[in-house]
Amino acid sequence: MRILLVEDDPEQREPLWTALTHVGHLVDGVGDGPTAQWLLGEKDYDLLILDWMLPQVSGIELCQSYRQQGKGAPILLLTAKDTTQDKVMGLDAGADDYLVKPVDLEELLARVRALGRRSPRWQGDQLVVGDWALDGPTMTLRRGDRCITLSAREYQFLEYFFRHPQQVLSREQLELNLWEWDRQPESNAVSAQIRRLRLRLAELEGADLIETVYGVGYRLRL
Amino acid sequence: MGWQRLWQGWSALPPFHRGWVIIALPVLSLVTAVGGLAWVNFSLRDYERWVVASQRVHLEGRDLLNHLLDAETAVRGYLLTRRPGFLEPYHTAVQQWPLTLENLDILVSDNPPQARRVQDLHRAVAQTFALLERTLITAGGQGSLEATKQQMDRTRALLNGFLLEQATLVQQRQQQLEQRQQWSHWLGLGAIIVGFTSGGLALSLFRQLYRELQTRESQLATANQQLQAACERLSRFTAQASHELRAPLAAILSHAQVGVMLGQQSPDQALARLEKVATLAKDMGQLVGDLLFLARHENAATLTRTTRVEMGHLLQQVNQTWQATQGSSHHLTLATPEQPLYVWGDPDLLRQVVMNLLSNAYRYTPVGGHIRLALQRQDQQAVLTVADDGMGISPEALPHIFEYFYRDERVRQRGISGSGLGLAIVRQIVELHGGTITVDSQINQGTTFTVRLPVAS
Repeated sequence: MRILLVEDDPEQREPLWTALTHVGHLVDGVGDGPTAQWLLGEKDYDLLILDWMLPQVSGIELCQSYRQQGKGAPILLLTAKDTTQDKVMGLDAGADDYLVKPVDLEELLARVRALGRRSPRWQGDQLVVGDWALDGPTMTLRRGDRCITLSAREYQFLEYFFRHPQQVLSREQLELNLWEWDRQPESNAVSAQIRRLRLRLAELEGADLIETVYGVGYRLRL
Repeated sequence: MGWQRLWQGWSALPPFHRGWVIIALPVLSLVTAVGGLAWVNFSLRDYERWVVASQRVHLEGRDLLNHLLDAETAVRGYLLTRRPGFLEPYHTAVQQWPLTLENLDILVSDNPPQARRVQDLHRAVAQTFALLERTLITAGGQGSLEATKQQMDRTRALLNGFLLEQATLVQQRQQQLEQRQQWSHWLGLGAIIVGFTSGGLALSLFRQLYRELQTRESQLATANQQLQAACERLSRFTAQASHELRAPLAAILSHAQVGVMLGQQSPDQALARLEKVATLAKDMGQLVGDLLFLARHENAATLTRTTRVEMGHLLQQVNQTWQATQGSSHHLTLATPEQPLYVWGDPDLLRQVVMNLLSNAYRYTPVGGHIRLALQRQDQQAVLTVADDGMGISPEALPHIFEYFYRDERVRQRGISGSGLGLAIVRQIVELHGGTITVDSQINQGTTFTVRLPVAS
């Protein structure tokens, strides 16, 4: 999943970013409200993890403005405020879930999975397209009774294709959604990544699962 | 002294009891005055009745004398003229004298000497009338007239004695009555004075009680406001402290769990995380220490252990420690007076003031910058200054720097660490020592903190 993580304390942001990335999510980690607001206008996210107390623009304000734009990605509010009143206020502002710091990473990852499952393509923890099943928690790809384990990067790519089946995805679109906001990909990075993915898919006799639409981009073929 | 003690005792009584006394004072004096006046009135009436009775005795005595004279005159007239018409007063007197004596008997029954005299009169009058009757029967013969005259004189003498005694008695009783009347006037006047005094006293005590209750009410209102403010401060502090404690805790937990998560694949990562955890835990330990320090000294009105501290010596010690531990990244200079300068205080706390201010100066001054530590005496004050030529404090931040957990936005942005409690602790210690702390700062020019402490005599 593509996740926006907004947390002003770098000591808290960095391990969360590492953990989320490690389990296969593509995470944009930012430390202030204005940058987050700009990113929300530029990119589409599958999940927002917001700290409440941020300099300049608070997490609650971010949440409200995001919902006012009519965007529906789930929002997980992360905060040190622990009273019922605070939780009600957070949920009323448009958050879908609420976690009080200090957060247990396992619980955070479970909640992230739970929020991700809200997409209709998910069956339990699996994203199913045709006879292919992509399992989130184990980062494995299953076809029939055969199964391979993917790297985080492979999983991120495949998950993005599985979310947009039969849709032609341009190189720019892939660069925008599969690279972190502050990293500029090499010119041939997308095609190199697709090549590596096809090699892995060949293990399940599905090297042609991702087809090239010449001059436009790539498509998940069923 | 006695009045003062009485007043103190009175003021120490609970308002409820004082209220009862204030109500009881005029009520009691009213009851006493009315009762006293009623008693005097009743006794006056008794005396009046007594005087009237005495006067009636006197009148009855005169009547008896008149009966005797009428009877004697009538008998004499009859004997001279032999006309029965002359005897009419005699017959009347014969009928009346027993009644008159009977009245006298009753009237003097409360006075034994006079009662005895009335008994004597009874016999004498009876003899007189017996002699008069014999005179009439004998028509004045056989010397009866002479005997009658003698008896008459004796009876009159007796009666006169009785009347004289009675007149004296009447006079005495009238004097007593007048005396009682005078007493009753004085008593009435006294009752009025006592009534007014106790009423006035009750009124003034009531006003004093009312004023005292009003003062107490306003004191309670003030105390209430102070308590409310303290509660708000506390709840704000708790909320801030909870946030500030959760942040490092969250970071520690996340680093530790990520370390566990990545540990098997990359031991280097795990080690790096472990180091982070240690650093964060150390910072958190400092934060907890600061919080506990503030909590311990929050409500302490005075210091528990104080000694005479020579500030120049203390500064030199701090300077040596600092130079030894912090190295020479900044130019630190120290200026102390030649004469020793003493203040009353806790040397450990005063050392912490200097250390906190120095550590701030180091943190907000770029490497190579200048920090000046100076002590001088101004009148009765020891003036300690810590001046640097660092980044300075913005005018917006300046009024807040002594608040708990306050950190300037510029400082946060530059990633300079700190709990935001150091200056709050400094101010608390300085105020505990009866001193003041002020700050003067200009952006990118530097900051000067000035601590003023009273000099120990």
